[in-house]
Amino acid sequence: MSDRLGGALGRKPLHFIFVLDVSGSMLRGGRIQALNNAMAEVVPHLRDEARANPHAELLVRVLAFATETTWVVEEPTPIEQFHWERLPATPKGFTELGSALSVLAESLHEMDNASGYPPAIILVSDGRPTDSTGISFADGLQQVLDERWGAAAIRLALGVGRDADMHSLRRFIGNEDVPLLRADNPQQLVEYIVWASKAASRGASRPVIGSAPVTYTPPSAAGGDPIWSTLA
Amino acid sequence: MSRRWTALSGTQIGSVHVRDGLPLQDAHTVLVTDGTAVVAVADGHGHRLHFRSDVGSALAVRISAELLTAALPHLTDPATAPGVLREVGTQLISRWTEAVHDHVAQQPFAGDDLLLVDPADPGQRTRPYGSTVLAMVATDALLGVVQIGDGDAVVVTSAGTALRPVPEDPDLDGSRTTSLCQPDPGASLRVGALDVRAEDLVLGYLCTDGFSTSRVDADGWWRQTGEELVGFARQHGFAWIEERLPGWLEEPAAIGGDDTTLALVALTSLDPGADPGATASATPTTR
Repeated sequence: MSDRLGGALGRKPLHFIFVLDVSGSMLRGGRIQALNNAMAEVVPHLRDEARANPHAELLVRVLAFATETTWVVEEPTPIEQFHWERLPATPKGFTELGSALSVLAESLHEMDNASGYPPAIILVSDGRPTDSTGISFADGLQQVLDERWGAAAIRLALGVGRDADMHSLRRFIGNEDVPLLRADNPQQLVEYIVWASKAASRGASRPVIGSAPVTYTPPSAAGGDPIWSTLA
Repeated sequence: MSRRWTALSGTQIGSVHVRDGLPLQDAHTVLVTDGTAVVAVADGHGHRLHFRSDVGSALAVRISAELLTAALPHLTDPATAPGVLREVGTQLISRWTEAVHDHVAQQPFAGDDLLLVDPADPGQRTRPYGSTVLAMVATDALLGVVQIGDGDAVVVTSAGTALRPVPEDPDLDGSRTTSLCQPDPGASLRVGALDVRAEDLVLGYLCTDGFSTSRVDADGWWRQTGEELVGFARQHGFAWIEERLPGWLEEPAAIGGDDTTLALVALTSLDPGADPGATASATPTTR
C-alpha cells in the first residue's frame, strides 16, 4: 500500500480554442500580419498563465475560417509545446462564421463527457458573417450553445477594424458583463488578444466560483492610430 | 463493550488562494469527549462576493460541532437519528444566520464592501459569509452526518468498504455549490445515519471538495481513501496518520488550487498501539 492518500492526482484540462477569421478582408491594412504577430506574442503569455494555474493543463486548438473552415491545430496541444505558424488569409474568402461555429460545436460535442474546466473560446473577426455555405451565424451559434461545453464556455470576441460586426460578436459572447473590444491597429490587436487570453484562462480555470459569475476588467485603451478604421 | 472513537483533522491553503491573495477559507474542528467524537469541515466560497467566507466557514464548524455535541443524548438509535440530525441542521442554519448578523453588527460593511453587498437588503446580508458545512458525529450506536453544499462524507466498514451516508444533492454540478447563504438553505440540508454495529463501521471522514476535484479516478477516489485510511490506522496508528495528513492535503491543494481539508473519526481500537483503557483527548481543536 502506498502511503499517499486517495490515489493519483492530475491537472484538469482547460481547452483554449482560438477561432480566427482569415477571410479576404484580413489582407487589408496588414490585418493578417498583425493577427499572426499577435498570436505569436500571446504564446509566452499563455505559458505564464499556465505556470500560474498549476491546477489546469492548458491545451490549445486553432480553428481558421474564410469560405472554408480548417482546423489549423486540431489536436489539443499543451501550451508548452505550442508554436505559432503564420496563417495566410484567403484572397476573396468569405466570412463563413456560422459554418466555423458549426465545426466548433462538433468538437465540443466530442468532449461532452470529458472532465475539465469549461473551455475558453476566443473569436477574432473583421467582417460581417456570410452564409454562402448554408449555415447562418445564428444557426452556428445555436449549435455551439446547444452543446454542454459550448454553453458553459468562457466566450470572448475581438473585432478588427470598423467593418467588424460587433452585434454578432456580442451575441457570440452572450454575457453582457464581458467586454467586447475592437482593435483598430496592430498594437491594439496584440494587447487585446493577450488580455482576452489571460481573462479567459483565469475565468475558465477558477476552481471555486461560488454562486456568482466571474468578472472581467477590460484592458486600458491601447495606443496607436486607428488605421483599420480609416481604411476603405 | 462500548465503542470509543477518536478524531483528527487537517487543512492546507489552495495554490489559487495563494496566487490571488485570498486567505484560507476552509475551516475544521474536532471534539472528542468520553469516547464520542464530533468533526466538522466547511468550505468558504472563493468568489469575491463572499469576501467574509473565512468567517462564515469558521462559524459553521463551531456551531455545527456545538449542536451535535448537545444532541448526543438523543443520538442513541439509528432509526430515530435522522430526525434528530435534521433538527440539528435546522438549528445550524438558524444559529449560523444569527451569528452572521451579529458579526455584521460588530463589523459593519464599509468602503469597498458596499460595492459588493447592499446592507439594506436582508437577502444579501449573509452572502459575503457563504460557506458549505459537513459535520459528523460518532457514538457507540451510530455515525451521523449533517451536510449543506459540496464536499464528501464517507464511512468505512471493518472490511474496508466505503459507503456514502447522505444522499446526493442534485443541485451540485461540479462548479457551483449549494450554501448556507442561499435564500433557503434548509432545502439543501442533507442528513444520514448508519448503525455502527449492524454495518460494522470503524471509520468515517469528511473532506472539502479541494481533496477530490483533481483525482484521476473521479469515481473511485473516495472508496480508495476510505480503504487506505483504515489500512493506515491498523498498520501505523493515528499518530502516523496525523503526522502525514498535512502532506496528503498539500498535493491536492497545490494541483487542484482550492483549499483542502479532511477530518476523520475512527475507533480507537484500530490503532495497534492503542491502550484499551486510555481516554481520548477532550480538548476541542478548531482552525
